[in-house]
Amino acid sequence: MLGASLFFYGYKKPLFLFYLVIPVLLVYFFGLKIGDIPVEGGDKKKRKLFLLGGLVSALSLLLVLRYTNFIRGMFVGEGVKPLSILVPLGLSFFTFKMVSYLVDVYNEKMKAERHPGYFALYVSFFPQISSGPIDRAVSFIPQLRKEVSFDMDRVMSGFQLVLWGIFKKMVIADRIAIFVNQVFASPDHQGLNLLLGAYLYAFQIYCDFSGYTDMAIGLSRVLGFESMKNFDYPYTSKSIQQFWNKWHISLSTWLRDYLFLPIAYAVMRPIKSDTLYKVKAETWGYMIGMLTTMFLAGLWHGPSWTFVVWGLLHGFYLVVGYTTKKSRKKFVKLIRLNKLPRVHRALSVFITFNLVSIAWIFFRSETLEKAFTYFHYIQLKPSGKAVAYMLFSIILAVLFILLEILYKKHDEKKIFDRIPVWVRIAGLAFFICLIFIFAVDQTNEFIYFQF
Amino acid sequence: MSSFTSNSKISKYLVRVVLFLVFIFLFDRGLYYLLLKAESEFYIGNKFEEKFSQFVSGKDYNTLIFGTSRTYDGIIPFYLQFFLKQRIYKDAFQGKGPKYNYYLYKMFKKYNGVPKVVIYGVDYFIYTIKSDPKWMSQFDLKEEEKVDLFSAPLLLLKNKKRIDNFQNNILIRLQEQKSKEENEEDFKDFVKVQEHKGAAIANKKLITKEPPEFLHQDFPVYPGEEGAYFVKLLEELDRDGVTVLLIALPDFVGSHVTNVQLDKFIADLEAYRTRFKKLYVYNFNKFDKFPLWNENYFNDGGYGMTNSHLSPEGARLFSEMLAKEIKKHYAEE
Repeated sequence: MLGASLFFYGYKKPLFLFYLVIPVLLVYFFGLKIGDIPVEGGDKKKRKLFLLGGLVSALSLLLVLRYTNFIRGMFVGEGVKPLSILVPLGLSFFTFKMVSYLVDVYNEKMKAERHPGYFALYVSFFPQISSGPIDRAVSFIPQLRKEVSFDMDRVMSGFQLVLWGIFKKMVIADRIAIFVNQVFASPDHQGLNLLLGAYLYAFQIYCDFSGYTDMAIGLSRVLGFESMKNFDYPYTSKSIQQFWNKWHISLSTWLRDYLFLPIAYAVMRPIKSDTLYKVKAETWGYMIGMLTTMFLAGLWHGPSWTFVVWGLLHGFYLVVGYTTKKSRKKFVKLIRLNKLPRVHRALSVFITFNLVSIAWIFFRSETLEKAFTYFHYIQLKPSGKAVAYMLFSIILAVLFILLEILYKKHDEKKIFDRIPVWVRIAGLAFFICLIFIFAVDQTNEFIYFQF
Repeated sequence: MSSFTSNSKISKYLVRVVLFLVFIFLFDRGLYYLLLKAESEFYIGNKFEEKFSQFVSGKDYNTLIFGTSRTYDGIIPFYLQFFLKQRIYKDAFQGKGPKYNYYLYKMFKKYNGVPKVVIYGVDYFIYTIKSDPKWMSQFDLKEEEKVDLFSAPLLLLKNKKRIDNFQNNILIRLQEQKSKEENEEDFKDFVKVQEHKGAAIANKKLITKEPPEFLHQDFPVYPGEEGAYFVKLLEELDRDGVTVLLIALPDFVGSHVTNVQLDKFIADLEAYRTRFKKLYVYNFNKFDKFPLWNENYFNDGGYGMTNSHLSPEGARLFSEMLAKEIKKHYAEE
């Protein structure tokens, strides 16, 4: 399996293997060193030093290869030609895996992995290496030690998930992309198309990324491994906070555990009393921790100001959501919206989806200037441009919502399992043929491959 | 006991796999057949012949240009008319292969009369072109398409390009109906082709840097998809006494290198000269003939890309060069 993973990673550009293997060996070494020093009675300074060494080994490639041009651009100016730097596939993903491993070993959540092969496979596992999920070593490495036997139901379930992922990517995301790309390429005088383009991009990126994740989780399942869930119907969220519990879960929990919580505690610790400037220490911790985390989350997606603004906007949403929680509850009571829970829920989901879609405009735009141009031209008046493609994209988005509801029902109540086997097999075959018909031939690269 | 269980399990799985394959086969054939039906229904009744006859009526064109998108972008009637002072009708577009050209020529002859010269922009991939059903539907051929059920394991995959074209054409028609309501313009396609003065610069996509590895494309073998129609067309033109000029358009340097058997391609065209006395071959896909390295003259193409289109600037230069070369054919009796 390790051989297959390394082959997958290096067959197009063998140089990429070098970028992978060197940090893996270094992190493996530092992991062992940390694990060898007991917390009780051991040399704490040395332990910390090894952790630092490991973190530098894991993070330095990411920082150098991805952010050199960005930092250079800030000092030298944007007119200068960027340096030609080749960034290996999935660098951000495997770096985060190694960081979580080191911190978990340091915090004694797990023992250091002594087998270099198992550790290397955890980092380089081929279904996950290009776009995650960012599985934790503590749950993944023990699975590598288990003996895997052939189980038809498991293989079928994995296969179905792979197909569902292909459908989301090649039929929904890539078809919607035709309209969305056209709208974002020339936003002037597109009118209502811009509003619809922003909503449809929300579907495109979800189907694209969750489609890849489904393929990765499905393939892992076929091979006998269970990966963590990465999406949980995020557009049904009632708040931005809930959205981040349902969107890219493996990243958001990583950010929570390894960035937000340490920063928040570090902010709260020096505040001696309960409040500072009449603001609770807890609130200070949350605000500074969240804004810093989301700033870095934006930067993690790419060295561009559009991603930074996207991250900060989400940080702002979260901070406002946190600090206005009580007053919003009071307001809901005041207008008696709490008496109509369904309306309240629908309204909350609608507002959250709109806030997320606004942020996606920054995420999708090539520059901040283009994002602001996009906002500038949004109108409710139809432009008449690309109407057929727009309608087709809307139909696809609606179809996807219906299928997702069906899939959710199956997730909860296993409704498909009640159908006779031969009907299920026929349905599967029919679904594959539909993919053949409607999949876009010239596939766009997965959006999250670039991260 | 356990071996009995595992044997029964294996046979159960095998039955499921066989059942799955049977369903895939049935749905693949069934859906493909339905798509073909839908496609033929979709293309029926576009009254092309009527529109065409009105369009060419009284214009007395003496030159006809054929080709695909490379010719659409590369040979501009406006310049040829300017330099040659001839009456030129061009019908070159993506998806217009030899079969389309053959039937178009018959229709052209019927309503315009026999032209003096046919300029045919020939592509390296001429034998792999299949005329788009959208264009073929312009002729009331009433050809019943035979579907060979066993020609491929999956017909939907084998014909994916055609299915995608069909889907795109549906969307384009919906879109055009909308714009027709807005500006009520008819004969749009004909006018568009005649007035086209080169591809939009915004779509420029050149691969200028040679990668360590890239595709090397062999020259496809005759007859391929529609090679037989190419010969049928040449035979008919020969019978009508039409001068035929086969033009190899310039490729951007990367594409020139990608298409590794250009010599074989030109030799293949030259071979037609022995069969048809009024047929001439002009090869502009040579460094000493056209600046194939000049990025300004091309809109796309490059290493690993078999197809390459001239930019408006390149098309202007090329059309001028072409006019100079072929002028003599109009002086001939």
